[in-house]
Amino acid sequence: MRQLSKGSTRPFACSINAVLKCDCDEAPQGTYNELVAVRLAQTLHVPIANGLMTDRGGEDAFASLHIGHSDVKLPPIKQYQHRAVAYRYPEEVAALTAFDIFIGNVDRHQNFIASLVTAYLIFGGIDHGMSLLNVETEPTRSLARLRSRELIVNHHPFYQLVEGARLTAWAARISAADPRDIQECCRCTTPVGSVPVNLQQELAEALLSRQRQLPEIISINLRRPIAAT
Amino acid sequence: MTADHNDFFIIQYVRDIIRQEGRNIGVMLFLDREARFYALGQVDRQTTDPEPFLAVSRLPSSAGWFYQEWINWFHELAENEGCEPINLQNQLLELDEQGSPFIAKAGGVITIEPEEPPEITLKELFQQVVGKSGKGTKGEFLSRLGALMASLNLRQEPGFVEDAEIEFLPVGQPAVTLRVPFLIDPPSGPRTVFKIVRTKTSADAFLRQVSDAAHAFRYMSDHGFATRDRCIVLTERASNEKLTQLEYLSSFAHVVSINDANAFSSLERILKPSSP
Repeated sequence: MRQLSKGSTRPFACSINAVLKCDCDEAPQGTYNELVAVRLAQTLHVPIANGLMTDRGGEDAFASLHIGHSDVKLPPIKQYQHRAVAYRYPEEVAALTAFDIFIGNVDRHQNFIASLVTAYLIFGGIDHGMSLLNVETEPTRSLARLRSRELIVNHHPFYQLVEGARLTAWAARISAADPRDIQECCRCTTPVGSVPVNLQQELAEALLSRQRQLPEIISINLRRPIAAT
Repeated sequence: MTADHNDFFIIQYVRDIIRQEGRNIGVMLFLDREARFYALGQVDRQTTDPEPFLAVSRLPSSAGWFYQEWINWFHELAENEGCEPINLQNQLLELDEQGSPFIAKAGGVITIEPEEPPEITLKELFQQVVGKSGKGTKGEFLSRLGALMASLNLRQEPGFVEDAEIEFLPVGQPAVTLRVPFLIDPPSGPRTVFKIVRTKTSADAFLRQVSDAAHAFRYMSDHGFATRDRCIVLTERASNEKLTQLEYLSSFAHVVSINDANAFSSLERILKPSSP
């Protein structure tokens, strides 16, 4: 760390640990997806890891900050622990599940962090590269699926564990968000990674459509066992 | 009845994944389609005291909860995956690839006599593999250092920072980062910087510590970060050969052996020169 001034707030320059995400073969629009997912989650108050744009060797990159403590990494959550997570964090699990359905995140699997036994309550999703424009390999096909009334997320660690009433409430809450906020989360003034400005606008429109349909998408699929009774 | 031969894995804490210097903190013993785990500070299955781990890892006390989360995770892993030993061993080995702060290494094979309860074997194995880490000279040094710091109320000093990184950005030159175990950077008044130099270690490791401390103090002094009278080396009893090196360090800093009876008063005089 390095002290910047002797001012009353005594600021320091420092280095902190983060996970750097860039566009890659598996997620060609991964950097943009990460940025938009964080913006949306913060707008909607859904618990996911914070992060910020940076660059790697002149290319856009997204630095996802560690959840909980910058120096220590919590253990990976195993499948046999999902029930304990859903029991300890019912509201957060409902928020994250509804959010994943909203952004078409097909890659939640083990991509979340949770403390399970100590007094520290820490829960948050990580890794959103395989959502939004990368629901499919081609962005145009991803947009088409987001505009449809498809569930998209057919497998999720909290299906059958999340409480139906909470999930329904979160669907309503996301659906009630101001459309201008959703648009602003998607739009940047410049291209981000491989995503040009016009594609950002198309994603905004697709998400507005999905936002309106989200309560119905979840309601229809509640009959399938995605939520616990 | 014949004795059983059982695999065991050593669980290590690796703070710096690049240097890969692991500290043994636990053992996982494989029985017949079952696994048992025992870790440093473990009181029982549900309770773990993080203090012994914090002493050997030198993490701040605020990180104790994360150790407790990991210990529970290893227990649950053993309980849920122990019936498939190969699968469990693979999961343990994957921790290293995942950049986890805790990794596992195959420890070898241990013989368990038919009449012997596995819990006894597990604890004996733990004593052999881990016990020394927690109770050796390092443990004693840290314990003594902790007591000294507590009696000086160092952690309550305004601006106290543990494991501080100090980054210098000299104009036209590459950035330089110096690490110190303790720093007191009060809102007003001079900074105090500490380095630790252990003597109960190999000659090479000792010389590396001396060089590192000398370089750090010289650099901080040259760049106006701290003056010689506020630079402190905390060390311990040393052989005559090593005393020569410590004397060399005294040209950059106060050298205080925490074994000395007057360590407390020496430090108090340095920290509060106006006090009687």
